[in-house]
Amino acid sequence: MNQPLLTANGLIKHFPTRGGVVRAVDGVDLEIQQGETLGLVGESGCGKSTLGRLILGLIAPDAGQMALQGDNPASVSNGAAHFRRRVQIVFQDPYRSLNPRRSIGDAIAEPLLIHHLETKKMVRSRVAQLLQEVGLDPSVIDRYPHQFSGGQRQRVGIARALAVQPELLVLDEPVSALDVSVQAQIVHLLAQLQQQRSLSYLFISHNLGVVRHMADRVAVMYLGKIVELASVRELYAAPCHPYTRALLDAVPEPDPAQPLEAQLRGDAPDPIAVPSGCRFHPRCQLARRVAQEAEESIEIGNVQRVPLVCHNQEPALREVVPGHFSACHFAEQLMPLQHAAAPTIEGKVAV
Amino acid sequence: MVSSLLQVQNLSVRFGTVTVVDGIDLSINPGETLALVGESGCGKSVTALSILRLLPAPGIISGGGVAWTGQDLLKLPLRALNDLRGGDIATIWQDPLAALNPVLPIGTPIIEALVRHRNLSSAEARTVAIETLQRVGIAQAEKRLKDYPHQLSGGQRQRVMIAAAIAGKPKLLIADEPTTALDVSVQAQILELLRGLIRDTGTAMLLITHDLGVVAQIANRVAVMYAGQIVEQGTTAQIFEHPQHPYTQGLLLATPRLHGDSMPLPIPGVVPPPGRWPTGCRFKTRCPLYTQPTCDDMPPLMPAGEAQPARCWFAGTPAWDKAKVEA
Repeated sequence: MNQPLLTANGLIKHFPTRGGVVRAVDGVDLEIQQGETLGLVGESGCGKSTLGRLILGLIAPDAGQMALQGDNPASVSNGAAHFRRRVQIVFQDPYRSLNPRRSIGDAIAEPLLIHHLETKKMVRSRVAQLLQEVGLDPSVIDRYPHQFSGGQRQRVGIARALAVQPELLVLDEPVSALDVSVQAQIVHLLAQLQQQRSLSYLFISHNLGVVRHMADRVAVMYLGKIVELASVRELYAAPCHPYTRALLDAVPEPDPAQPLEAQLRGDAPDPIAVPSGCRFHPRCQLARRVAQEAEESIEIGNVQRVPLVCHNQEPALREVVPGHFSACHFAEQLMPLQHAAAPTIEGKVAV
Repeated sequence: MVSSLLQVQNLSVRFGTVTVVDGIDLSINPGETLALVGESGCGKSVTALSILRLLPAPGIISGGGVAWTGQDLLKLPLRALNDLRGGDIATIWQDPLAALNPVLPIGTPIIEALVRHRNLSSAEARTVAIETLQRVGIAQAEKRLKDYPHQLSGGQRQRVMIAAAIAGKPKLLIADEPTTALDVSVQAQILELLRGLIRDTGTAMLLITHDLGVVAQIANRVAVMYAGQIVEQGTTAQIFEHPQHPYTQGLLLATPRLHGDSMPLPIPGVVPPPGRWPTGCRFKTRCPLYTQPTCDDMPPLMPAGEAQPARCWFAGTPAWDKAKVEA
């Protein structure tokens, strides 16, 4: 396989607060290939946005390394402009990520001028071309953000990110603030741009439905760690981590014939008080099931028993089937049943 | 025929000169959950606020009526209306942090509502408040009564707001995007909780949401709103299995799914904001079935009086087959 576009090893970011240390990102390794979309999913507070900011170089990790293909790692830690040009971001909220007092033409031109990619004379025609690429009429170049709808503003945000010809885009909940009828437009636009420019995406979202249609591979995060990583097909059809499975079960499908059962109890625990052993063990149904037959088990709050190993030993992210990683001591117990019942899933959006 | 609990007739709402809700009819029977579905700016939340006359200025109800078990809510003296608010008609809002008073312990609004609306002594109200908090899944409820909103997680705050709404056993719950701010795992728990409540207490619910997944899980009937109007109404099964209006069909196709083969289908264009609605059919600018001059006249809800009326001259025609192929 080719050298990945982005490689990150052992990334750690802790935030000291008055209440204790928030372990937002707590040892994450990941790779993103050129032209690939890596989906990053998890509930609020799991650290997915912090990981996105680390990858952008907006904040420095406490530990760990990151490298872009062909770059020496030092350039990343220096926050060099060169690195910034190669990795850009599209934010969730197109209302707040554009300056209301600047025309959108100016907003898109700014990165081009900062990175000395265009002269002041030529920049306007380049901006007009970018607007066209994201499906906006170039005649809107002098308008202000309030004159656009949410979906159109998100197109402006994408044009601004693309202006400096990045190789990797961090998409942080790019469609979550948009109406459903407009979401799909942006999803299709992103897929089209990726194909034309062979872009890589880190697609951060809590919406598992959208991720399924955008990503090639998906990483599931829980309390600062990646607990499962697999191709989108594998992950949705045969999840090998009980958290992923419960998360998928919790998504209400727009189909009255598929009633929902709430599998996960309680809220995600505080990233200040991370549970011992496997971080998921206090909420894990699989652990409770396995405990009934396990040789050694331990009682935790609310008269539940979990296997001792879940309570004492942090599971490593290991390859359960080729290309499918899970951080669960008992990942194998989830497999056979599910492989049998795996539905067929089409690949991501084709353009 | 069962007499309905709440009947909204030809309701219109204006903000200044801009019409936001344009002549909608709704009715909710006892024990029934009606979902009012639509995208931002379609008028669904304004409709909910109008029912209890909670419209913020400069919003005014410019026409129509709201009947509650026969009484006209729009003409009711404020005193009598206040007896209903938080009593027989209770509300759940999207953002519990905004709805709960940050300087009062969470038990206070629950107890206050019970004393005010159900004539309980404060000791009795306290007991009911504890029972209700337990019921919505708050552990150590007695201790928790004295906690402040900031000490709870988002999911717990939403449970507290639900507890405050249901403690007095209302006949109707108005829930405006009750799970939108929550993670899916918490959302699933809250939906299960609401379903259980409806089953056990026979409370009716008006559920305002943009999320068709939530609708499918909990509603008996569905009304779809677009640009201030109801464009389709029917039972949940009818709406999901045989959507008649091109907008309803499009919404279902645009919603990303975990299962099945269909890709989310974009609906072209943008939701027209109030004040910029097209003449005639308001969906015509985005509709693949747009035909001149037919669609330049406003279609009525057709067929009138049927169980699943749709506001479209071509109701029932599959609108997106061609678009699906192109996408």
